[in-house]
Amino acid sequence: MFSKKTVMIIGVIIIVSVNIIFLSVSSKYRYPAYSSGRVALNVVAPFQDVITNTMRFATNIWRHYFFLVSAARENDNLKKELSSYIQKSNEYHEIELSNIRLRNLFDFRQNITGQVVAAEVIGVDPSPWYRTIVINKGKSDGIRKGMPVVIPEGVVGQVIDAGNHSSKVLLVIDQNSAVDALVQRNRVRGIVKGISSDKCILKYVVRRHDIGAGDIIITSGFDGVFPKGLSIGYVEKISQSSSGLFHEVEITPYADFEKIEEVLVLKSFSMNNPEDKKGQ
Amino acid sequence: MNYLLYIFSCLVLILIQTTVIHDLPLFNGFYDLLTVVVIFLGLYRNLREGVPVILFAGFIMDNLSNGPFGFYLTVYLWLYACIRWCSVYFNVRSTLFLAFIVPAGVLFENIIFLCSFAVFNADSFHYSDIYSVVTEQVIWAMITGPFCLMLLSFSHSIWNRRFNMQISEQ
Repeated sequence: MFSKKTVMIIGVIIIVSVNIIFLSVSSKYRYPAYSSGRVALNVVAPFQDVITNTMRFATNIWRHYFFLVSAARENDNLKKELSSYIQKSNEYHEIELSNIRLRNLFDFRQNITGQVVAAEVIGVDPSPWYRTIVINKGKSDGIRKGMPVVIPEGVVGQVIDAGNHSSKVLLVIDQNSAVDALVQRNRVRGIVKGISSDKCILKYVVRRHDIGAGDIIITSGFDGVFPKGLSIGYVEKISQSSSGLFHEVEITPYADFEKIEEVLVLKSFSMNNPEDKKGQ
Repeated sequence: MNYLLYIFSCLVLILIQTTVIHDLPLFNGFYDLLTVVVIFLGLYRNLREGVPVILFAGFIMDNLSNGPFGFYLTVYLWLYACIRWCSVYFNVRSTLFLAFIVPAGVLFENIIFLCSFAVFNADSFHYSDIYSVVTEQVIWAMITGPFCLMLLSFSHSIWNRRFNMQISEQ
């Protein structure tokens, strides 16, 4: 009835029509309650997940490896930079501190009319039982035995031995040191003796004299070594023993002997109102 | 040539003791480092090597310290004599002996110091800090003493080996 050609054309038209109808229907109901695609999704997804994660993990490792390498390199460079900055900062800080110290020393030096030699501390006594320091100035700088050594805070000690380019200084806290002293407030006289610790004692202060904690002790100048009026320390405590003619007075020196770095040696001296300075 | 090593060691230790240790926070109460050298010489070296080095070390220390001249010489010579005496009766290679000989030496040195203070400086010396100073020194000696002795012994053996090699090469 129909030729073969006609049947083929009709078949194609039907297939295209059915396809169009299917597409139009499926486009209307895009999210059905149940579809076979979801099964596939449920089956495939875990594998996808594993593979994707594995790939991502490998990629991350790869990326991080390169990142770590570059970060480590950068870290090394930053550390180097940081250490150089820290070193510079320390240097600046040290310069600043030494500037402050030297400025203090210079200001103090203005109070002293006479010849003064500034020196640096280069060593300490090897024995814990004695308290001496070694300074880097000696006979060639005019230093002689017996010269007083001071810092802005107060008395340090006196030169007991002078070499050509270095000298040994007996600190006031050494047990062999004795300095004639006054209580600044009431001019009571005594002898400041070292006890080879960080403190001194004021000896021979008669009990009837009024003396209290916090009183400032200064040099009297009577010993012929130290100029009058240099501060030595302050009264820390007074032990009241039941017997004896004298007070037992413990003094804390103003100078911190553990931290002294620069000192002044007074070759010849007279002071410009140094007592006023402490009294203020 | 051994004299050179000992004298060099003494000078280095003296320098450390008078400049470096003082500035280290925990090491303020460190013991006299030359005690270790004296003990080492007393234990392991003969009189001919020991005595001149001890005289040298004592002389330098007496010059640097404010103590009466001869203090350190006396201390070191007495310590040396005691160590030599001890080495006759004890096994000087035993670990126990090494652990205690340095603290004992440091204690001995301090006792001589304090005895001399008591005799010569009785009126001006105050005894308030004695216990803390001596205790601190002895504890440091217990901790570091044996290592210092071993270090000296080690450096001595290296020195000997190098020196002998040079002689054999010549």
